Amino acid sequence: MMSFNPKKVFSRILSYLKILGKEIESIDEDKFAILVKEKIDGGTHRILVQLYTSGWISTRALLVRNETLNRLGGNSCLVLRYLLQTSYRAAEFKFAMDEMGNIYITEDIHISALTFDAFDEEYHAIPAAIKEFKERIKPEIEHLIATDFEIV
Amino acid sequence: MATEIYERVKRYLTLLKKNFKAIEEKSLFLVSEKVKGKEVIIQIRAGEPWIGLVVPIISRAEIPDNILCKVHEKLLQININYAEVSFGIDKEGNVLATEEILSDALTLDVFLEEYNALPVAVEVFEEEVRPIIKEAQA
Repeated sequence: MMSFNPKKVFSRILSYLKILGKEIESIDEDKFAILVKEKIDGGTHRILVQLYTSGWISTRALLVRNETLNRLGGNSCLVLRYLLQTSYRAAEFKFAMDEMGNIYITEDIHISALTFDAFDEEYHAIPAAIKEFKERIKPEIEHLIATDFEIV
Repeated sequence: MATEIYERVKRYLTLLKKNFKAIEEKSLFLVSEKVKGKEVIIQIRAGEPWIGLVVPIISRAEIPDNILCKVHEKLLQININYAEVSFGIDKEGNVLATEEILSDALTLDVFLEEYNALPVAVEVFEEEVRPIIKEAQA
């Protein structure tokens, strides 16, 4: 693992977000985390950009709350399978779940690849993926489970 | 004709002294790695704009039906707990770990970090998911 100065990298990420004109909601300098507000398809989404000491930068957005999955009962298994299949097919993002059962869309970039252009592309993969999820994946899931599927 | 990206990946694998087979007409490399004493084959497709790295983890047939949902849940949890690990499943339900590199961002450092994430994924699977499967089979 390469050694790096997390404060310097964090400040670079912050400057990239400022250059991109992003609306920053909060900054946690202890956790190297930045919360960004994005308007996507008429809805407001919060995107968390966080630097880890392992050298990976994670960009993540909450997509589906656990109560939505819980309401589906056994059908939630079909959704999880579908999300893993979509993760495999998509180069730009993956789906992930926290220990509470909330579903996120996430993208990771290693600091060795951190340039403005790479960050720009990888960051914007998340809003693009949320849009794609709303327009294409959500209807496919609803077809699969034959009921409405509520996303954030 | 081999692309510049294909040649660059081949050079990196050679510099890193990896044991690999190159299939030029498919822009594909098959790299043999030992993870915890077991041989795994890492597939690298030198495409553009994405270079895809894949390692098969476990076939669908090896996962008992009654714990399939639990295994899928665990894979998604690992996807959030380890930034460098990305599990997915193919159409048949086989589990794979993947990494992608934007071809414009390809340097040896980037390649190495993304490549090394795949043996990590195999290790994490063996430590956190395999015991669930073994327990169900017992």
